[in-house]
Amino acid sequence: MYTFTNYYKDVLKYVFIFILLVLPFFGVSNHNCNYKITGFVIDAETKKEIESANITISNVSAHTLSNQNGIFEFSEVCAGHYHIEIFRIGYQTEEIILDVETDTLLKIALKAQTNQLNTIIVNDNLPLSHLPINNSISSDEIIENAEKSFAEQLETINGVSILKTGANISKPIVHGLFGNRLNILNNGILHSGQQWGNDHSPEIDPLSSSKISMIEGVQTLEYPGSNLGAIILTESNKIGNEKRIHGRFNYTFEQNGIGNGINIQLKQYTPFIAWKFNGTLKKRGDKNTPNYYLRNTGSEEANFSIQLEKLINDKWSIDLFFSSFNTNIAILRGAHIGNLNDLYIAFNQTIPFYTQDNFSYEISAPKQSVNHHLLKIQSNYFINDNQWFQVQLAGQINSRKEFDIRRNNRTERPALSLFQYTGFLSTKYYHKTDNNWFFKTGLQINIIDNTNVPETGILPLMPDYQSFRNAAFITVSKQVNQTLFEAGIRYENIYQEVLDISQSFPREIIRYKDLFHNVSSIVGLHHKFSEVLELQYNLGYIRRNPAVNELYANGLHQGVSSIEEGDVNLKTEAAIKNTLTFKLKIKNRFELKLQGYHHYFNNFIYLQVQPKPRVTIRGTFPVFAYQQDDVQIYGFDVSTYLRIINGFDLLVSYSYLRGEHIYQSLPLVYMPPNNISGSLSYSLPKPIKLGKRQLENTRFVLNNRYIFKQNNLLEEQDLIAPPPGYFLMSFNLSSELQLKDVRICLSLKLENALNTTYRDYLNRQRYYADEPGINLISSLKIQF
Amino acid sequence: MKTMKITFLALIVVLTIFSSCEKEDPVIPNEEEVITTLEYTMVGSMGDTAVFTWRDLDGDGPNAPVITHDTLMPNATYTGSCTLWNETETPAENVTIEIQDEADEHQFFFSTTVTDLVFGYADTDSNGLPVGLQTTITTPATMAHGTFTVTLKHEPVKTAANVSSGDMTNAGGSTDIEATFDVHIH
Repeated sequence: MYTFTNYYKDVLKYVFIFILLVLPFFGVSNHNCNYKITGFVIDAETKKEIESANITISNVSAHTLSNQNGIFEFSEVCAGHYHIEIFRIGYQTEEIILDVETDTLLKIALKAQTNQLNTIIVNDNLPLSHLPINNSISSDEIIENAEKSFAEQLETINGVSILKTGANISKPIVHGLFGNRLNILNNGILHSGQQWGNDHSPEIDPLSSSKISMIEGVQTLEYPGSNLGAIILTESNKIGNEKRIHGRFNYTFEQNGIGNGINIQLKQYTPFIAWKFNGTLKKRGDKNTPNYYLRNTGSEEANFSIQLEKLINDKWSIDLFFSSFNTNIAILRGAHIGNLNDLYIAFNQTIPFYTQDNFSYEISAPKQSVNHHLLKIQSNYFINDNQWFQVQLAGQINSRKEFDIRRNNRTERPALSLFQYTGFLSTKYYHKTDNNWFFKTGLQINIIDNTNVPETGILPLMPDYQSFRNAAFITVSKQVNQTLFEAGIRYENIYQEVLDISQSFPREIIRYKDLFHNVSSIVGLHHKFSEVLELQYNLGYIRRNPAVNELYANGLHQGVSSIEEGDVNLKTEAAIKNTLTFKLKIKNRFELKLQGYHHYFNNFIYLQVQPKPRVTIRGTFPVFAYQQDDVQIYGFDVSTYLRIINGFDLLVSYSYLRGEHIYQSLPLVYMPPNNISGSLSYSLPKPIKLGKRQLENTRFVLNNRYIFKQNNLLEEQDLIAPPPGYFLMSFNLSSELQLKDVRICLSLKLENALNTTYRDYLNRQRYYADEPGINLISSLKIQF
Repeated sequence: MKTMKITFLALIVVLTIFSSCEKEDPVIPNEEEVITTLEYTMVGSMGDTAVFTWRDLDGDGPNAPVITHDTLMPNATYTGSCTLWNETETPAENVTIEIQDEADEHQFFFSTTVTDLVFGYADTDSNGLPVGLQTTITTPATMAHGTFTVTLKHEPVKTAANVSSGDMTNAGGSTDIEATFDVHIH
């Protein structure tokens, strides 16, 4: 049996290996760190100085603003190789690669942005990633957590939780909403897979994006789908105009699960075309809890993406993005059960059935094998600087195969095999007026074709269907002094044809045709009282038609031993959303963000356990049916940031959420429990001398997180009571080293540092097993 | 505005193409793995036969199963055998063969509310561990009435404590059959 001491032996072993790996890089030539980079930012056309341009040395995370004369300065810069990015709203972001060997003077001429629709226009002057509290994750943060899945990456945003199925499957929850109610946009295209399944992760490689953000309010009306919750948007930065091939290489090693991951990103600008390549390979084996290995919990992933940008002329550009995501995921062997009695037997096991004493990389049934490909072509055409068109054409292919343990070699055959293709066409027109009005309008078509591949030998849970979603939207905003007014409306018309197979014998095919109309509207107000205080308010009325699974799903959901039944008579659900946000900022030393929200839902669709369980030859199963009721979800998220003294930063966040039926005292299930987290970081003011080289930007972070028990649930609403609250601690140590042409970033993370045994309410495998124990993650990033 | 017009036309063309093709009928799966019927036949030493049948033709569907019960003699010994059928196929498929082929991955368990009604294994798999397709049943000396339950586990941990003597507490596995019958000892 794997013991506690073994853990620490392992941890030490890996620390040692890591140090050995890194050591050869030290001790070559001497480095001077007294250089200055001074710069002067002007408008390329008017030659006027540009104030408040944002300058970052991306591989050092140093950051400054240009003053009113357009001048900026970085002092105490070490000799080396740097990527400098100059960003200003309204201008094209400029990227410069610089070899510093002496004091350097830069003159930067920014071109006024003509194709700014590739970036979501934020109302802040700073790119969000440089604010301590924000709703987005920067490229640096993404690569720092390279071992994490797409949903896990989002966990640092206050208000986001994760719905998990074991260690490898996770999907984001924003303010209690997930799945059909939470849209994910991959590079601006609605991600289209089998989102209805709680055990289906979004098929997106986070490492291929430069930024992941959570968007709320009027902007969400631009995008297809229900938009009932917030939108999670991934973006790829513009490639820039650096003519050398440059990029990064990242290697991550995880001690728990003995996971290895590599990622490589290359990009180059040529006058003909600008290109970027991103590739990721990941593999890990069985994870372990503090007391035992989780049998069959390995995973493997191979992804790549290609981005091409072509400027045809001053007015016309074409961009292409292709991404391919491919994964095999093992699912805990002890979580594969038959009927309700098996489930109760599994609950009572301290160690899950089939647990083995040895580690394994093997991925055997139950498992998932998923492929997702996206191709997007986007073209922008500028009539003039104030009016432009954008056309997007995108196609997606999603193939999902799930394998169960079956008799007579049928394990080799998937028990669920779905193939989906999605086509999307969008045209948008943007118009800015001289008196600060901004109009956006567009037409969109989204076509989904979902088919069960007839290889399973099992009656499908989801029927085959084809759906056509036609939509039109218009949004308007107007800036008056320090106030921004926004309003928007979106109309969607959904026609779908569903081909269901009858439950009764003889089997026959039943065709359903549905037509839905959704009208959604949001208004927003953003006011800056002063540099210190800001207020934002959004009010929205949003409609979502019932999804195909809610209408037609019928059958056994293996993982939870329950029968799920759709209802063809479900009506469209409607929400009234109120969101109020306060931001208080005192210089760069203190920041407070408080967001309160109340979502009222009319005809909210949810699963309700039925009084009569179903008796079959395989035993008894509870029956869950989709029903509708009026519900409300409300809560608040508060985050504060404090610079205690130079070098010491403190960030504390708290989330409170309640979800309940309005006319009966019945809580909603799967609502995230309240949680509080705090992180204290210390950045070393000076580099550490290490022989002839030196370690720069050394940073130490201590994270603490407490998840409260979900008390807001009745006993009969779940098979077992929610697990108790738990406390997790983690450490982070990172540093950077400049070599001749490359910069090396090293990081060590210790997650679940106290090796706490716990179970999480939002993990569907909490019925069977504990969460993973201590995990030491080391990573090496080379920027060139 | 020209671009707008072209795009709009393109939208309409694409829409018409897609809307005009109706989706093809799905393939109705051949559900060869389903077990619809359990027949538990018990033959007494005098050649008398009792048959217990559990039949659920719609699988996980909403229709209730059809169950037939029987009577056993007191103070007697029976030889029992379980036969499994998939009656969704025509002709009905005998699933017992699949279980025999994978005997090491399957085990039947028997439990009862009747005191002194004892089920014993009469067969073994390739590892010498019980399967339960063949059983020996001994009945109590007195008249009684109660129920017994036949459970078939797929991939149980046959070597776990007490599993080979018919206790499924430590067996794990997933349940393929769990059928309860009324029984009279008369």
